[in-house]
Amino acid sequence: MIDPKTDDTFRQITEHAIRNRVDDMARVIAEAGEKAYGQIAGLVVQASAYIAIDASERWPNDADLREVARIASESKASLPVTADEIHAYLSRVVFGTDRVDSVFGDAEKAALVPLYTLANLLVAFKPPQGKGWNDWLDVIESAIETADVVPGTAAPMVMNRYLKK
Amino acid sequence: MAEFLVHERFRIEWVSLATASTSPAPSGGWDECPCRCGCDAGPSSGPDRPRESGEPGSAGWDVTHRFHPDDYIPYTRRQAFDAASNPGGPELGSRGWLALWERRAAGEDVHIPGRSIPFTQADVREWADNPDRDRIPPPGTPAWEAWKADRAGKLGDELAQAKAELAESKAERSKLVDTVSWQADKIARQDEKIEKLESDNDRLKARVAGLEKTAESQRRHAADGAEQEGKADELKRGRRHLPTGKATGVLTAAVEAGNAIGTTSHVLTSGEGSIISAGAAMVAATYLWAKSKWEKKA
Repeated sequence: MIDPKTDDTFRQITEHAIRNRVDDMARVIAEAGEKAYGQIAGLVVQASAYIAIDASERWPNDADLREVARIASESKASLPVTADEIHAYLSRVVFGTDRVDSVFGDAEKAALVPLYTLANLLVAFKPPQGKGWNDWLDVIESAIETADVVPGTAAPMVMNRYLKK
Repeated sequence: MAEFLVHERFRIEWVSLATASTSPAPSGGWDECPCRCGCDAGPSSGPDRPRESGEPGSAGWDVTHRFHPDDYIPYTRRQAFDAASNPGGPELGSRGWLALWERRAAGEDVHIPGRSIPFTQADVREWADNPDRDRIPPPGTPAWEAWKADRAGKLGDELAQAKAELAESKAERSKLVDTVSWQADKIARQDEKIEKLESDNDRLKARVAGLEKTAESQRRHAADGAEQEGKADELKRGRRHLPTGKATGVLTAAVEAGNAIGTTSHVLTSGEGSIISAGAAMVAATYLWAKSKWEKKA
């Protein structure tokens, strides 16, 4: 289960990211502490993966990720992050095995691209029912919590349930 | 003559009857009419004299004949007996005889000369009015007195018995009154009890109604709670709900990737691992940046 306090901090950071309030982001992250931010960072990566997968409607290949990155970079949030940066982050960090600091040489980039990517993804791919990004995060967090308790041995049955036409 | 004969026959017959236990009538009859009615009747001509209509022993004798032309009182069997039983008394059917009766009726002790046992008009009436008079002795005789004493005894017994029955009846009545009174008390107590039960019943009904109202209220609260809980569950489920249309494609891709690599679970595990490692790398990068930036600003 996601700790409510962690979730609250996660949403504060996400909101600051969406509004591009860098100082506020830095303050909240620093005040949260390294341990708490470790949990938040995990949520940032998983939420980004969820949106990319959901948007691709399949296990995303490179073309999917590029399209997702393009759409995200053009979101209404107008954040200082490019489509290439988003694509690099998604393909190499989120769905790859590279470390973020090895992908982006600039420390600030390495720190902010993941947060700006999630912010853009939330704004660009928010559900069509007219709900906000907070509601979208509710759905994503529920999926993360469910996946946390589903063992690998349940995967065939999950596939049977959802792949069966 | 005819009237005399009537008198004579009457006298002989009834005096014999009345004095049966004392002195029989003279066999030759009486020298003169004992009624002293003033008629000129002579001595009896004997038992063989011719009977005329209305004589004793003939039809209508009892009630039709009169002693005297002036006597308007009907000559009855009872009157005849009285007259015959009182040879020294007033003449039968006369006003004198009536006066004697009246005197006796007023309580005067009038004795009939020549008779040792006095008898009263009441005795005569009692005897004459008795439907069984032919089987009981006539008044003026010891047998009559004995009969009267016997009858008085019987009456006394009857009276005593009646009194006893009355007392018993009174006791029974008293007992019934007591019973009725007790029953009335009992009914009153039962009425009181019924009234109390009805009152208790009303109170219980009110209490039941109150409890039902409370229970209904609690049911409503429980229903509201369940509804809220249901909504919360639904919300929770909704929050956990994945958009199936999109997830299907994801899983299809996962299966495809899994097939390429070897197993589906391996793909998922590998993906999860990559996410975790990515998060860890991000912590180092982002936290250090934030801390540095914030410290500089502070």
